Amino acid sequence: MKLRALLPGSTLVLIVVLAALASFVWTPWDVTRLVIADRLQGPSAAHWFGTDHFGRDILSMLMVGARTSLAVALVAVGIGVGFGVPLGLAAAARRGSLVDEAIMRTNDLVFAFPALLIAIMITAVFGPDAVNAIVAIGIFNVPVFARLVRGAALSLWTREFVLAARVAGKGSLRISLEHILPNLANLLVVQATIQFSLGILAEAGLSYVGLGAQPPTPSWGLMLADSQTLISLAPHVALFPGLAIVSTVLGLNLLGDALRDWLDPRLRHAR
Amino acid sequence: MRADEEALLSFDDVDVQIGDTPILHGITFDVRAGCTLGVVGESGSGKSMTALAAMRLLPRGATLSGAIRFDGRDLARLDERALQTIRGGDIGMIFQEPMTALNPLKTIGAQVAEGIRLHGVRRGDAERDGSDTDRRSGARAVGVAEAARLAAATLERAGLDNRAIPPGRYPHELSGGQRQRVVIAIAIACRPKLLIADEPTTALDVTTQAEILALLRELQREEGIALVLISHDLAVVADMADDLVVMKGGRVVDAGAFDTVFAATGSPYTRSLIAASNWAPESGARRASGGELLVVDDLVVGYPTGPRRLFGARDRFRAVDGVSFRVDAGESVGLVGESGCGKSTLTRALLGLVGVDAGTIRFAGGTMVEATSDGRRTARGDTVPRALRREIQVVFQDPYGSFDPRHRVERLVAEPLHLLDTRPSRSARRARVAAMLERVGIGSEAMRRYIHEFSGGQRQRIAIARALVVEPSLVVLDEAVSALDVSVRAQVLALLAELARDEGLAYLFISHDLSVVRNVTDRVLVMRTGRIVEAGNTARVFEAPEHAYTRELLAAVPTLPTPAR
Repeated sequence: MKLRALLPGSTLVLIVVLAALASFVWTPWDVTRLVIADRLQGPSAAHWFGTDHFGRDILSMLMVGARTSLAVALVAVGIGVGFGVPLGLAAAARRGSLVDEAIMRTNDLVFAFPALLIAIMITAVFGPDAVNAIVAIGIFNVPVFARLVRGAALSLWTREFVLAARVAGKGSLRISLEHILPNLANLLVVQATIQFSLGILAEAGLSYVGLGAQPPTPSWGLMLADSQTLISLAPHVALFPGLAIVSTVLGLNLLGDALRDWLDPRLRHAR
Repeated sequence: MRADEEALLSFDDVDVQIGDTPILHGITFDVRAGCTLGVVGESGSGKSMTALAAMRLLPRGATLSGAIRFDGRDLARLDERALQTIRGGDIGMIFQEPMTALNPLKTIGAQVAEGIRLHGVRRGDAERDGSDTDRRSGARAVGVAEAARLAAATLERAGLDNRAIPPGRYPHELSGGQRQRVVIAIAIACRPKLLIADEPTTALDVTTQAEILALLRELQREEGIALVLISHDLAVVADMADDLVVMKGGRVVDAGAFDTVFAATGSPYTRSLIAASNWAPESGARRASGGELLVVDDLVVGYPTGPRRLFGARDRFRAVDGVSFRVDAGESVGLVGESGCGKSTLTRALLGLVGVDAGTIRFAGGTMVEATSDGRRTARGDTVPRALRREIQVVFQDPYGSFDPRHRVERLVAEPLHLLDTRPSRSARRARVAAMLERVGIGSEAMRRYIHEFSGGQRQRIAIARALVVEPSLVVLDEAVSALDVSVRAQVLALLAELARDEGLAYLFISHDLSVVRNVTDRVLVMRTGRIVEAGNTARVFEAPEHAYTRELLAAVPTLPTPAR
């Protein structure tokens, strides 16, 4: 049983979430305060994670940046799940019909465009902004979830317990909600944690090319982008945002594993 | 066992445990060279584990003690390298599931040749060829071309004519029986001294089973291969075995010559197993029929096949092709046929799960399903009137797959209550489910539990409770007892007989197992390639079958000899 993963997973995620929440009321230093004299200092008692090339406190920036990263990833996954799952369920419930074809071919269409190009296009039209990044990343999560759900739901539809539900006179909507969706929950949780991680990385990527969060709003991706020319001079400037991304993704994956096991009564009751 | 015959394989006080859990306890038996040993037991008795122990293919974390002597060597002491020459070389193995035992990406010839290339040719063949032999393993390496030639010959030996089924075919192009012949060809390719067959015919139809058993018998006799035949079905073993081992709970409860064990000397457990295999309800339990309940008239159900076309409809395969029959109130009707005969499609049409192409299904005077006037099939059967739908319920075959693993038993059993016009209140629903669970012998405390906490037999009881909770007048039993062990099967059949008597239920008993149908039905329908070829009183059909196919089917059924008193 993987519930062992629950403790480290939830601890890591909790630390990141608490840091993001705390940043609304308090940060060790003001992130908009530039002190050129203090630039590129290594970790010290005053600045635990050191300072960047403008003399801003890296810990404070990470805390504020966590808000951006978490919000982008969370909303992007929300868009993916919110649109993708119903579409996938509908396609599976009406498999082989025009509805199914229409949904899946539209998905193919979205899949056919490179995500980054679309994100660049969206930001080119609407201007570079964290909200636009969220929408762009979210759109590309829709077909991921739709395909996953349709494929898994198709095999569930042939199972005898679904036949039994049909014999009990239930329609496809009720069966989708009562039988198909709960049995997909473990898959969805795992995929959602993966997409969440990818969302954080995608936001970092977009910010890196200057299309995500705009300065002075700190974001983990932006911090990495800024640090790249300084990596040999002051490696800690790149190290800490990198570590923040890695530990958040790791924490989410562990949490996802534990959640998946907990959602399955067969595994939950196993000792 | 006679003293002049040497044991080829002998288990001597073999214990197996996985982690701290003991699986096998003091297993001791002998397999005589050139003879057949039947191993019988219910699921969980350890018979498959015994087979795996003989091959030293136990799961990770298993520890083995005791001695397994094979041909002068102790398999329990050999290292992995030595074992590899024995597995597939000296000992061949046949698995239950011919669908998964073959690699779908390789031709059947290549799969047989693989073993020959790996193990080489036995000394006997090599001497005949007059070529060098590897002294250590007594086998000679074989080239690609020669292996392919030997593989073709082996497939032929296993009953697959090279012209009809060339070695270049892939597994998916073959039927279940043909695949099992390929599995057998792989097992005998290296001329093993011992063949272990673990439920080799369980996944097959009766007529195919008879062919495969005949092949095994022939191989055993002509090649002098010793055979270990593992089965849950006493009747299969009875036709084949010289010796018999009966297992229960990881122990050998009986071992010896088949006739001795089978006759009076067997343990109480063995006797109860024999009795359960022949279970029949007390006569007089069946009632005279009431009025007609289900009337199926000239039903045709097809599904599209072949490539999609841009214009025009796809070809349709008629899985059910003009079937007419009726079931009267309180009557038990059997429907038998082999896989692919259309009985599953018919079941689904009866339950309104698929649309029909032509014909009607009427129930208690009302029309339940009919083909629509424009000739298009009705969509998904969602058109069945609600009032009629609750009259006909179903128990499926698979006690594992027919329940949503995420719902508690209360919710599972209550699901059909959805069909009632007035939805009962929460407490009324709970009371009804509790009463139903008590009725099928499960106990109402089961309501709070999940389905995986129950055994196969208990799950089928819960499935029966789910079917009966809306008080239907007809229950379709779709292979409802096929997956159960004989003793559990007898209990479930007894429950069904009791419910029929008390509630006046009618059954449509769909099964490939003729002995079950014979024991519990009033009338029987025999189905083949979408049509009903014979119908009549069960006793009459079994005693004096009219159609050639019925006779063939009956002849293929392995029978249990009547035990001597």
